[in-house]
Formats: sequence, C-alpha cells, structure tokens
Amino acid sequence: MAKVRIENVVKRFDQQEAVKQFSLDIDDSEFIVLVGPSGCGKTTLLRMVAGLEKVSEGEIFIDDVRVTHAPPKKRDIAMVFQNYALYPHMTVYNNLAFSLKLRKFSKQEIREKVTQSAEMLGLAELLDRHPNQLSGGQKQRVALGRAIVRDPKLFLFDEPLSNLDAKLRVSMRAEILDIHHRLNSTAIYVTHDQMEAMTMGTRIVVMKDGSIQQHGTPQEIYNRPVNKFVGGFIGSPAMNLISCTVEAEGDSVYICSDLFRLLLPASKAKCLNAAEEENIYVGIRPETLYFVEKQDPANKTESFQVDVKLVEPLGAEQLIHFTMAGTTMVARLDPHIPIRYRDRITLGVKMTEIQLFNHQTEKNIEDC
Amino acid sequence: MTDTHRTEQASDYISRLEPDSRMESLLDLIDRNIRWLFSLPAILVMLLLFAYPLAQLIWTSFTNTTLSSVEAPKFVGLANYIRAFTQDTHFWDSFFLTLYYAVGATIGQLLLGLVLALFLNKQFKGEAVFRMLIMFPLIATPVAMSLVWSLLMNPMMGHLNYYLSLIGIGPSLWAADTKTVMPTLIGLEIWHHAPMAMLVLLAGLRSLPREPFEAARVDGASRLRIFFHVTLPLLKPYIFLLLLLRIIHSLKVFDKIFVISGGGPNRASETLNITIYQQAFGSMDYGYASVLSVIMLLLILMISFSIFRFRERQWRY
Amino acid sequence: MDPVRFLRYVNGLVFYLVLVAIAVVFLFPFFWVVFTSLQFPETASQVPPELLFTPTLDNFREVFSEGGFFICLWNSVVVVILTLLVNLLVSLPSAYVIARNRQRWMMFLILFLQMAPWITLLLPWYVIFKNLGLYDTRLGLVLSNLTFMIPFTIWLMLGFFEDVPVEVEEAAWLDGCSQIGTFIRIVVPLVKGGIITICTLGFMICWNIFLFPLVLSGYHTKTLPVFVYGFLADNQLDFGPLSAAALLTTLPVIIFVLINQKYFKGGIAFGGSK
Repeated sequence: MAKVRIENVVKRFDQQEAVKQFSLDIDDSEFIVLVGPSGCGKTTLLRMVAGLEKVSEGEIFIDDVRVTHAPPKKRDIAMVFQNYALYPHMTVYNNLAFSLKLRKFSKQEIREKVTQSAEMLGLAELLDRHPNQLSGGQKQRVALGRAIVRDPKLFLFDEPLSNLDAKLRVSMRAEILDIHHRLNSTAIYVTHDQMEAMTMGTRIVVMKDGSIQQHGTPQEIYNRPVNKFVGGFIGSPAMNLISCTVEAEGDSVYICSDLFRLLLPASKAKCLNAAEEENIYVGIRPETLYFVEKQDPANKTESFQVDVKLVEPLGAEQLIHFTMAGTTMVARLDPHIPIRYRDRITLGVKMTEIQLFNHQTEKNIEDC
Repeated sequence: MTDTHRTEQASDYISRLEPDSRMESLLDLIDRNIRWLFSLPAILVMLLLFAYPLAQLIWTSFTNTTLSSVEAPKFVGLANYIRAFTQDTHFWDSFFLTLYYAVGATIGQLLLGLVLALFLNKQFKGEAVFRMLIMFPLIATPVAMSLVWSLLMNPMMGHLNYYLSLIGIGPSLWAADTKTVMPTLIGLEIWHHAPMAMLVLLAGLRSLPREPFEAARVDGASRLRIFFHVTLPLLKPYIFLLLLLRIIHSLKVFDKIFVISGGGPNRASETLNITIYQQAFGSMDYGYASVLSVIMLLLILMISFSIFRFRERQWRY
Repeated sequence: MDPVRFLRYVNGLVFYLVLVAIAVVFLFPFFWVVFTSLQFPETASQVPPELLFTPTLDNFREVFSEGGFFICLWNSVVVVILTLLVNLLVSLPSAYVIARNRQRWMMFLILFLQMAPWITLLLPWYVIFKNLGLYDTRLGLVLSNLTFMIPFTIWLMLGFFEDVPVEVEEAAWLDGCSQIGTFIRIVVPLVKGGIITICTLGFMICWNIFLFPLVLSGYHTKTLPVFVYGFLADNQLDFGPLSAAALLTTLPVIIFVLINQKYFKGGIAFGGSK
C-alpha cells in the first residue's frame, strides 16, 4: 500500500493535450476509480502512473518518492490489463512466478507465494495450463493473480472487466474488492462504466476531455454533481436534463417548460436570484419524480401531466418514458401502479432534490 | 503505521530506484538506447557490405581500372558509359536478351502458375503430398539441376530427345543451337519457378471472399465471365506482387545460363549478368564491367519503380 | 452403371491422370538423376536405358574419391549454419525495433535492398575482399550471404513481431523485466514460427547459392555448388558420376526442406502475398 501524489500532470500528443493539469492525492488503501467517456484521458493517466507513457509536464510521487521518469520496472506497481496480457507461451504457474523469478526469489519461496495467490483466486487446478486453454474469466483471474503475487505498492486496473459478460463482471467486481480489502492495498481503477465506478470506489474521479470534472465519494457525486456533465454521466438511468426558462413573480421563482411551471423552494431560489438568468438547465433524477393520484389544484406548482411513451417493468420498479421539450425523460415509479402506453398520468417532483445548472457555464448554481 | 516506519519504507524505495549493481546500470543503459543498439549491427553490416561497395562500384565505373593493371586507375568520366551505349554492339544484344529472358520467363510462369492453381483449386486426396512434390524444382540446387538438364539435353547423347520421341515429339538441339537456346532457357526458368507462382496464386484463390462469386452466379454469369470479371480482378494484388518479384528475379538469373550454355553458342544467350562476369573475370576489364553493373542496377530500379507506380494506380478496383 | 456416376468416375480418372502428367513434368529430372546415378558408369549414358538393372554405388564412390567432395560438403555446411546464426543475431533485434516503429521509408529501403542484382555487388567485393584478406575464407562467404539474408529476414519477421501484442511486453516491464530481457524471454519465444521459417528458407537459399562462392572462394573454401560445376568441367560426359554428384549436392537441402515443410510453404506463400 502507498500514498500517491499526482501534481499538475499534462500529457501532450503532438499539439493535442490528452490530459490537462491533472492533480490528485491518493491515500493509503484507497480504491480510486477514474471514470469518464472514451477519450477522456483516464487510461492515458493510468499509463503515466505506470510508466508506460511519458509525462509531458508535472510530477508523480509514490510514497513521497519522485517516480515521474523512472522506468516501469522500478516503480513496484502491478497492472491488470483489459486484454489480460498473459504470457502465451508460459503455463499459468510460470505466468504468476515470472516477476518473482526476476527478483531472484528462491524456488521454495516462489512456490509458496504462487500457491497462496492461486488459492486466493481459485486457480489451484489450472496451474499447468496455458493461457489459450483458459476461459475469459479464468484469464482475468490469472492476470489478477500475477499482480497479487508481487505484493506491490500500488495496483492499477485498466478496464479489466470490459471483455467479460455481465454476470461474470458482477462476480469479478466482488472478487477484486475482496482482494483489495484483504491485502489492504492502494488501487487506481479505470472504467467507462459509471455503475462499476459507483459500486467499487471509495472515491470516484470523473474525467472529461482530459480534466477532472469532480472527485469525491460516490454518494457525494451522485447527490451533488458539480456540473451538467457529471450529473448526466453518473446514475442509471441517467439524470433527466432539460432547458427551462426562469420566471420571477414577486418573491417566488418559477422554472418553466412546455409541460410545467414549478415553484423553486427558497433554498434553491436564493442562488438563482444572484445569477439573474433567463434560462437554466434543470436536472431531475428518475427517482425524484413520483406518481400523483389526483392532480391537486393547489399543488400545481409541484406536479404536471405527461403522456406515457413507454413502460419498462423491471420487477422491483417500473420506468416510465415520456417526452418533454423534445427530449425523452424517464421516471422511476412504484411497480404496482397500473400504467399503460398512452396513459395520461400526473407526476410530482421532489423540488428539494433537483439540480440546477447555469445555462452558460453548466456549473451547479448551488455552489455560490 | 508510525512515521518512522513510513520513512524506512520510503528510503527502501528510493534505493530501489537507483541501480543496485553494475549489472543493473548496464541494463539501464541498454534499455534507454535499445533502438540504436538493436539496429546497429544490421546497419553496420549493410553499410559495409552494401553501401560502401556500391559507392566504390560507381566510382570505379568512372575510371579505367583493370584487374591486372599495374598503374593507378585514371578518371575517365563518362567514357565507359559512352562506349557501352554507342560502340559496343554486344552490350545492346545482351541488354535485349536479358529483357527477352525476363519478360518471357515471367509471363510464362504466371500463365502456367495460374492454370495450375485454377486446376488444383479443389480438395483431393494426396493434395498436400502433391503440392510438396511439385516444389522440388524450386528447392533443388540450381547448379545441380542445370547440370542434370545439360546432360539430358545433350544433342547427341542426351536422353531427353529419346524420351520425347517416344511420345512423338521430334528431336531438338536445345541449348546447342543459337535459335533454340533462349526458348530452352526460358522454358527451364518456367519449369523452375511455375510451382512457386502456382502456390502463391493458389493461396490467393483460397483467400478470396466468396460473396462476389456467389453474387455473379446468382446473376447468371458464365464460368468464363466469372473468371475474367471476378476472379482476375480479385487476384490482381497477388499477380502484381508475383510480377514484380519474378521479373526482378529473372533479370538476375546467372546459375542456369552459366552452367548450361555459358552465354553461347556464339553469345546467343549472353544476358547482362553473363556479360558482366565475362568482362570482369574473363577479359579483366574491371572498369567496363562496373559500368555494365551500374547500368543493370539502374535497369532493375526503373522496372521495379514502374511496376510499383502502375500497381498504385491500378489499386483501386 | 448409372451414367451420372460413370461420368463422375471418368472425370475423377481424368483429373488424376492430368495430375500424374504434371507430376511427371516437374519431377522427371529427379527420377532420372536417381536412376542414372545408380547405373554402372559405362552404361549410364546408354540410350535407350535398361529399365531392369542392378544398382551400383560406383558412381558415388567416384565422386567421393575425386578430391574435395568432403571438404566442399563441410564448407557448405559450415557456411550455411554460420550464416543462419549470425543472421538471427543481427536481424531479429532490428526487425523487432522496426516493427515497433514502422515508417514508410524503411519499407522502401528494405525492399530496395533485396532487389539489387548480386553481380553488382560481386565486383567491388572481389577487390575489397582480396584487399582485406577475406578472399577464400568462410567468413567472407558468410558476409556475402548476409547481404541479402538480412533485409529478407527483416521483411519476413516484421509481421511476426507485429503479431506480438504490446501489452504482453508492458506486463513484463511492470513485472520488473528490462527491455532487453523482455525481448529475449518474451518476444522471441513468441515469434518462433517466423524464426523456423526464416531458417528453412535461408538454408535453402544459402545452400544453393553459386555466384558468390564461384568468385569469392578459392581452393580451401569451395562450397558444394562450385564443386559440382568443377566436376562437370572435368568429367564432361560421364553421366554416372555426374548424376551422383548432382544428387549428393541437392539431397541435403531437399531433405531439410521436407522436414520443415510446413514452414517452407508458409514462407513461400507469405513471400508471394505479403
């Protein structure tokens, strides 16, 4: 386990900046997840920490030691690749033992360590096989075993589960976390799957176009996205994002779209007044909407009517799709309510839980 | 974890980053310069054995060196080149014989190879064995096989005429007659390399996608039309590569001609290669031989260049 | 018999007949060589030949006793093996580096180097080798062979090296392996197929080469092809011993290639289809 400090790291390819001024402090035993869409620079950053990619600017420290330009073999880091990268011509045993042989451990010690890791991952019977005789899941476990056997300071994961089928992915996630806790290691995990990020990380770092959008615990990021991108990226089904107009009537502030005219609670309105905007982005998570039996005329400022476009029954809940202002929105409702295609229903909004983003900067206005 | 413990770890780590032995620092040095170190031996060899001699050759072609001369060579500029192009009729004969040989052999190989590939493009018993056996002409030592052929084609005692007479083909003087020597040699070259052309084209045929053929058949095209309008165009890249490789090779052939006819009879089969050899090691006119070598090199470069350009333009189909 | 089946039977028969005819055309000289070399020297050149005869090894004895056969055989073996070894040592690292940093001009250069006519280099070599004392040495012959083996090897091996995923190398680096260690322990074992292919093709080319040893080797270092040529000059029409000599010269290379058939065929097809 180790502390990692990344300071103002920049990566340039020709004239393009793939990673822009990236800074992050990672504590002992943290499981950091870097998440973002393809091309956001997360893998590039991971590879720079590993030493597989040169750093254009900035410094990287592991346990307060400057490793920015050290070759990979000296950094005491283990990496699990997306395509496993096992040594095809060696048995599983030799794949696991390779790094130990390089460090000149005795045969006895190697045997001990390899069998230990193999048992931890359920690979004990596969030690004599070659990689081409293994299934995808088994290969991934060998890749994991290769990393564990070395007891490194830092674990790096480059989208290791992307090539596995859904069920396998879920069980492997649990295994990886289990091992992380047992070994008390520090890890940086890269993925494009926001659900994976949410379930695995102690801290998540959301990236876009080479810079950090936000970092924090999964709950922080979910509840308080710092901008429109993070709000829309994290959460499944995605947050509903619409452009609304702002109307002020005396002390009350309303946000309006083609289907509703909702009253903003004072806590949100005070930041909005300060901004003096005409338009605003409103983020409403699917679970922030709820079903209303009868439209209460007095409560028109908190609910509105929609035409159901699609019903997705998921067992524990149902997802209702409807159109507003030209975009499709999703509501997460109790599965027992009988709703059908083309029904006209009333939805309420928990106004204290919506997010508001500035129309120009796309930043959350509550950070005022 | 206490602070002191952490400091210990850090210092261990720091020392790990520094090389801990001379072997390690040597390895580090190699690693950092690996691109150069790895390519250096090959670059050196090619410089010494290719670039330097080539430069020397070009220089020599501008002098009047002979292998037996005692005095220092004089710079004569383009005199040798002029002599080659204008005064030496043998040069032009040689030049055209070389082209004749190369073009004839290449076209023959391609045609025969194509016919064989089309014929063999099916599964049959003993396929692998047959294809291996047919490679023999290609594998065998050319000098040895040329020796065998010259024995077989001996006009008086050779067995070839005898065996051919058994199936009704009249006797021929083969390499002993000025009129038949070139066709004979070209025929031998075709015999020698058609199997390779066949193998390449067969691999090409096997790798073609099935859809165009199925589409053509559905459209009702006849076998002949399919061949000309689907098979051939799809095979173009293979044909072009074969064309390039075989022509270059045929221009350079030496062993066969040297052993079987020695350039005769009466210089009727003296290709450039043979001429150069005779000039350099027979007449000892080293400078003139260098000129012919340079001309030959340029010839090959020009031909390969034009095939390249032609192929680039034809590439889009 | 059912007419359709009959036609199919005839079709198949014709096919195999043509197949045999093709085989005869391409293999006839080989049969002849074996046949003739086993005849008595006096009757070897007889026409028409006796099909039933008692084989004799007299011709081979004569070839062996004619001074120099075994020396030339040894020279051929030594030169070929040395060439293949040095070739691997020099070309594999270069091919690896080029494969990982491919650039267009390199491809042109490699192709160009393979096209140069051999006689063009032979002239300056003759003079240079004589001056450097490399004339009539096996080292000289090895060097001359390397000139075309190196570009050819690099060209052939490029594809094989590119098939090794970079991630496997990166994993080795992270495991603590140096770059050169990774090359030796990880990359090279993974291109074994290419190496065997190159050795098979290289054996064939270097064993058979005639022009270079003809000029660059002298009394001590003649290789087998040069020996055979000299034999022809000395024994003009002795069909028997001549066939024996030709057979002995070409047999090793045919056997070697037959043993490595798979790699030979792969290499040729590769050379044709790139």
